[in-house]
Amino acid sequence: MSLPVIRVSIVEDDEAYCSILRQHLDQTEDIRCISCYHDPQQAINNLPTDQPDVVLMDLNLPGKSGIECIAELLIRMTALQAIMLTVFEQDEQVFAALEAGACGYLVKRNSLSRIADAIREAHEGGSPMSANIARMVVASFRRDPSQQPLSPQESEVLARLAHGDTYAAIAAEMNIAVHTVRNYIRRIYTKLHVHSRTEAVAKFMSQKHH
Amino acid sequence: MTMMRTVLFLLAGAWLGRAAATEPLTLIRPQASFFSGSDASFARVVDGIAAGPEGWSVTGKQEEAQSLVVTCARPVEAAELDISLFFLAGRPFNYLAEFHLAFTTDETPSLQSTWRPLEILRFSSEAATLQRIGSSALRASKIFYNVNGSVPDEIYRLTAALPGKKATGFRVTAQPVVISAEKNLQGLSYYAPYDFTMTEFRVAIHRRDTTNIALHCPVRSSHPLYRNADGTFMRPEALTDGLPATIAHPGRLTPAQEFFFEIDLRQIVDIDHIGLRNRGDEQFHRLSRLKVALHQAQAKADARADWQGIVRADGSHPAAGALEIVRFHHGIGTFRGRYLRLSSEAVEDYTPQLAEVEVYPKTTPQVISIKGDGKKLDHQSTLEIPPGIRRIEMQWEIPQKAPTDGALFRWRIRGQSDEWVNSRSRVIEFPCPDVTGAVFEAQVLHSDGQWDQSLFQLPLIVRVHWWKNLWLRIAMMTIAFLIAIGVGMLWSRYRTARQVAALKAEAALANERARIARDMHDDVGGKLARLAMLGDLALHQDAISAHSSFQPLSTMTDGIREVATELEQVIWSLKPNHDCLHSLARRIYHYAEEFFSGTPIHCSFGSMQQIPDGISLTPETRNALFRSSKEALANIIKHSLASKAHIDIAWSDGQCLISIMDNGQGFVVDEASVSSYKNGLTNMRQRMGSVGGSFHIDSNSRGTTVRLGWAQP
Repeated sequence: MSLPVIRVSIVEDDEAYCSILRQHLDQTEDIRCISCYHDPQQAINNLPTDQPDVVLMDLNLPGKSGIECIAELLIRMTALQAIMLTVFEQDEQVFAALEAGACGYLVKRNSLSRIADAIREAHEGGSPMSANIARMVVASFRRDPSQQPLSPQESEVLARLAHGDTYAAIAAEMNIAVHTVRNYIRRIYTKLHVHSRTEAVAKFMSQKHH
Repeated sequence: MTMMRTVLFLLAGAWLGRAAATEPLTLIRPQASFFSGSDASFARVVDGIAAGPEGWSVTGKQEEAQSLVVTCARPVEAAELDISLFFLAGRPFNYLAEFHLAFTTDETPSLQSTWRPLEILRFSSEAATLQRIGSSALRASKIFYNVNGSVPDEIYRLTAALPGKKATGFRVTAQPVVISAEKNLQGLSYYAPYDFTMTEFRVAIHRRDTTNIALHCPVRSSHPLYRNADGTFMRPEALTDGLPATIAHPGRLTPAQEFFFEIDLRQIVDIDHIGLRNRGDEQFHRLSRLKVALHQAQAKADARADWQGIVRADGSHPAAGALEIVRFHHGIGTFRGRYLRLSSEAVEDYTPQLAEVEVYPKTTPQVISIKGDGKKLDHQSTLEIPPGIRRIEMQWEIPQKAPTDGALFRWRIRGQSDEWVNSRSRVIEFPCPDVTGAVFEAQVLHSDGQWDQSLFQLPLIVRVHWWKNLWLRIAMMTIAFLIAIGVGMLWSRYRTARQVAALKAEAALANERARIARDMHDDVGGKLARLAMLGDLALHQDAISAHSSFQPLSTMTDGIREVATELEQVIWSLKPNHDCLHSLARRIYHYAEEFFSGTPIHCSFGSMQQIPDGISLTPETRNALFRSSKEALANIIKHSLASKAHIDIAWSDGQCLISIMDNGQGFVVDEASVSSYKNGLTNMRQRMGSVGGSFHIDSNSRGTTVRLGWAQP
């Protein structure tokens, strides 16, 4: 049985890291690296033509942050799943990337197999939410009352995630199905994006007019 | 899977080994003084198929001697050859009446080559009776009648000696016999029209069951032997007849100093050991003070031997029926020769006296071909194994037959594992050694159960992929080490900077910290991530054979990841905006989440809601709280056997309380055992003490709770 191949692009200015990652991904059966960009502007110009399923986006790119790149790309490519790559955990930037529409983030020292797993998960449409992210989301909604408020169920899911409960445990506690938990998580992300993406778009448009 | 493949391969190897023992030599270019029929039908004589209507036939010229010459595709060297002459054309009476065999060492064998007689040692046939008329010639009997009306087709099976020569071709000469003197009729077979059809001529290397080359060799004695009661004499051949029950010794009046037995081994051989078998019935004390001498040429009784030694010079004797092993160090000289002489140094009558003499030639196994993962590898005095090879296969030439049980030879890789591996198969397979400079060694087992003293040795040079190179590994570890030192230096620079900054503005310090954090983040962090990733890639490329994956490489990769995690922690604490409890709490929660992911322990977290923003911590306090929490988490994994853990960071009345709980097995908590339980607990206590904090541990069989307390000054 041949698996459907996940087409991946990498945007990363560290050429050595990029080439090692590419080599590895090409060794998996189900992931193909179709393009690599070291320059963010080139990536923004070419990725809509390349049509990758998933893009791995470095956080610190020369001239433009990966967060901005993700925001811009998602305007043109709505089906794109973007994963942020960071050297170290940096809560602020990671959260900014999630707000901009990234569906997850990876620390660069993560093992190659973990990176491949994250790509598969992103491709299947899951935006997993760890306890750490949940805590950041809670803080975000608390900080900014202009955001579309969360429903009581969404709030409860978020609180339980922050507490460290598994999806299965949350489903059992709330008497709902696991996929419903996933739906709530997706909706929480959407509310997060709707708010911040309009900002990103506004920023993008204003830059274009200059 | 791999195991299964190995087993299948060994089975296949055993089969091949067996088949190789009887595999006929490839014979090409048949030529004859005359043949009837087409070239194609004549060529059938060496087509590898024993039966068929066609082959070498001489119809029309059957009154003269006729010769067949065949060429060996590859020159053959063997002590003994199995030669078969097939007459399976459905004309059962048309077998050769008389023939002799010869071989040549000429480069291109033809009828004009120099031909030497091939000594026929043993022979058998189907219907006719073969009779020796010379050392290399046989005559078949005429079959006069048969009972059931059917005579089987004829096959002659011979074993011939090829002493120390490399034969390039063989010749069969059919000799005419007199059919009728009155009619002056001669023919090459007994039945009209007195011709024959040899459907196949076949040669194969003979494999003996025994490695004793003295078996059936001619023996002579200098004087007549002991006269038996029935008037017959003992026969010297008793010493090489293979039967331990037959003995030989001189008579009583034979002058002891002059008497000797002499065994002709038919060729000069290097000897591994000689076995002297004592008689098993009585008088076995007579195998004592036996002089054994080896000569290259047949010489007078007092000729100087190439090697000589005295067995049981002390007058002792082997047990009844036992085999006395004689090796080169039991005498003086070169342990080789053709003629083996036995005489007695004992004063006793009827000596030398023994049942059997066995001679085992020095036999070193020879490797025919070596393959690495199925591809041929060349070898000279060493074997160079290219990188990435996983399995080595070797095919061996060992002259004797594999015994039905027990080994044919044994091998080992000295330098990797010095243990011998016995093998019955001529094909062996083993994983490529992971060390270079090891030496492959092999040794033959003789049929008497003695290992040959000579060793086949082949040094193995194992080439490795560059990332497996030791120096590269050392270099990478050095890099990691230097990075660690660099971090230390940066940290101390930071501390110095801090002291300076304490005197200057708070902002300058913050800037410096941010700069250091950025530098390390971008350069060191990125490089570490790359190294870890490179390690992964190398591991992955090797992971196909998981069992041979190289431990140091994965240990190094893990080490690099740990350095990176440590660095992350340093960078995190360098950032001025993390100098608050809120930030620390998030950090500890996140660390615990990562720490327990992939373990069977499920970790849950307290709420952050009660922790207000803006509670500042000194780097020392923050460090003490974070490190102590880490230690407590590590203890849960190492000691608790818990399935659940919970961390709660709370703030009330100017006090911070971190509780770390598990539902594990706990441990005894009297004050003495706590302080001595693990260095870790002592560390936590000291750390917390150094910043004016508190440390409490509560433990029973239902779990352990560690509480770290700190009050705002």
